[in-house]
Amino acid sequence: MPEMIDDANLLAGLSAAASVDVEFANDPWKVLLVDDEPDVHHVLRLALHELHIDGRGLRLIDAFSAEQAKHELAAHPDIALILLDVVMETDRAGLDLVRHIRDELARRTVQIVLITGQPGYAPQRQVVSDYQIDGYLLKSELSAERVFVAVHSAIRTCRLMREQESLQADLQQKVRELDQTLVVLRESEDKLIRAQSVAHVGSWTYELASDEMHLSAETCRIFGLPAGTRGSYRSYLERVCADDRQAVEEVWRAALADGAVFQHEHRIIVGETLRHVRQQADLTRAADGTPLRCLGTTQDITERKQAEQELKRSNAELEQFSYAISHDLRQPLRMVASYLQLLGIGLAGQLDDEQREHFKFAIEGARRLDQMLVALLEYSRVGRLGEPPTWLETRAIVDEALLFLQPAIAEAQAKISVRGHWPRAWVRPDEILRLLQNLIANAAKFRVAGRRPEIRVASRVARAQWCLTVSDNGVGINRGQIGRLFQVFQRLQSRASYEGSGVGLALCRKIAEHHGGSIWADSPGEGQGSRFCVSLPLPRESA
Amino acid sequence: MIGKRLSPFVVLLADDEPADAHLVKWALTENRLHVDLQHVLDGREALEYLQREGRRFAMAVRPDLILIDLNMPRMDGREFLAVVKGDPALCDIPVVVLSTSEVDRDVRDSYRLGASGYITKALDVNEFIVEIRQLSEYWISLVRLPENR
Repeated sequence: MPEMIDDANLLAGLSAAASVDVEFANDPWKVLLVDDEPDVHHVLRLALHELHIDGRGLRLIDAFSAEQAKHELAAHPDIALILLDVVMETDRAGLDLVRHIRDELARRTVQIVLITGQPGYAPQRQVVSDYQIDGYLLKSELSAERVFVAVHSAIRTCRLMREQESLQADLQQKVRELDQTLVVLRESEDKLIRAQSVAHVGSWTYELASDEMHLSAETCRIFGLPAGTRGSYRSYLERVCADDRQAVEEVWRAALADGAVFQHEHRIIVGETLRHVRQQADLTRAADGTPLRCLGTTQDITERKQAEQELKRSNAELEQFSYAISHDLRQPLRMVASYLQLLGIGLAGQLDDEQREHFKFAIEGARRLDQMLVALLEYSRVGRLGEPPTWLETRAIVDEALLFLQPAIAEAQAKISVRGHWPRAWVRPDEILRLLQNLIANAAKFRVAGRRPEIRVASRVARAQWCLTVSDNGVGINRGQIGRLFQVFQRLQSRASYEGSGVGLALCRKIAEHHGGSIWADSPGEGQGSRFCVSLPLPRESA
Repeated sequence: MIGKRLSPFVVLLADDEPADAHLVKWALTENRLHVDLQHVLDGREALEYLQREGRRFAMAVRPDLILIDLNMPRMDGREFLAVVKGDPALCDIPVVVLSTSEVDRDVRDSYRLGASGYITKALDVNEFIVEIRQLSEYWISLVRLPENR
């Protein structure tokens, strides 16, 4: 036999089940006597009196017709043996009962021994095979000895058959359980395969002693190999891009020498193309530290790498673009502005007031365009260049902003109050400084003529958010206009009354959003002051 | 010593934009600064001037100050700085960058490459005149200080 069931638990389970069945009772064996002649009952009872088989006595049940026998059979499902007369209500009543037992009741283990007066009514061979008869007694030969032998062997057979049946039932149960386990296993294997293919993560095992590498279906797919392909250390290295091979070998040797894990990102050759994979594996070692095997995952990170390269490229392009704005566009603009001015100076004596005004408008326009270019450049740089995030005392930033704005505050004669709890926050210092400067400068700038500006800068921490508000008693905002407030180059006030690049609040919004937060404004209406709120997430500070 | 004091102050200006160069010239005149301004179009030409290459620059006078734009064809201001500051014969000539760019990186790179100053050219001509005046006065007075002997 090529395959043997080698499961100690399975066999132990089977024998335990069988022994329970044998033990379950010292109950007597039930024997049904079916004969229309009371004398026969009498003879049989005499013959079986006080008989014990395998330590169990007999319980005799009498039936005097086939009909009555059916009732007794229904009442006693555990009858072991039937001693059955053939000729009763009808010539074939006994045989019909046998058919009923075997076919309709489907009782296979109950033993049936026929007792008949006329052998002609039940030709022995045919009956035995057709009706599954287990023995045959002639009434003329009903000696105690014969009855004993027939009953003894029938009960024994019944017992063996019951044991076998119970073993078989157990076996079938085990097979069903195994089948179910297999189904579950297959499902989970299917799921694993599907999960691997969805995640682009394959798995593999590597046996160091035999230099054998087993690859999962997804790993094979990633490497462009037919499913079920096996590999070796060499065959793997051959698939690694030549430029990365040395690095892979070094990391692998280091992992073997003293590491518990092997981790590396490299390129592999798949047909004509290169793909990026991330290999991660755990090493299993023997008690003496010798590495035995490795269980690893292969992640296809080609798309991530491509996205990274694309991002790098687009960042470089953006950098190039913003440099073009800051330099290449401003250069000719400076020429326009400068030479217009020179023309104006040269023609000074010949110009009338209107012409002088035209010169002023043209130069003013160029100057504004230049401011806008600078502002746009600054806007494009938020979150991309500048200082990296760090833990910062936010209160110190307010003081820095106020120091920087001192001339504007003095000019506006603004009254400033700073209050609330100022937390340490994980932010980009230059950007948060810029945000505070812009909000406070706006509050000082957009004041109502003849009203002394009062600016309240407040901070609080609520639900892991840092909430910052700057409120003023200035020109306020028309409700319908709040939506336009934070857009680039949108102005709610005329340029004649309030100077500005039109980028300040857009810049604030971009800074807030780059810190994972938000900014909004409200105002009771025009001329009634306004309030700007910034909410930034406050991560837990570790150590 | 006296001869040097009387000789005109020589400025080498490298700028590919004639209009830009013209503004510098104009600002110097406006400031009544008597300067011998030599104009070349890019870093390569400036280097040829300094090394007196070819017939055109055979009689070139060593400048007291070099003004360069950053972005120029053929050889830009950064490459020029790298060459001049790496040349023992030239490295002591002060080089000041004149640029439209306000990008931090340009300023940092220029100083790192050995520039003596970085001027962001103002959009307003009046401001530009002031810039050029202060720049020239500083370098002229520095160079013309009597030597301590």
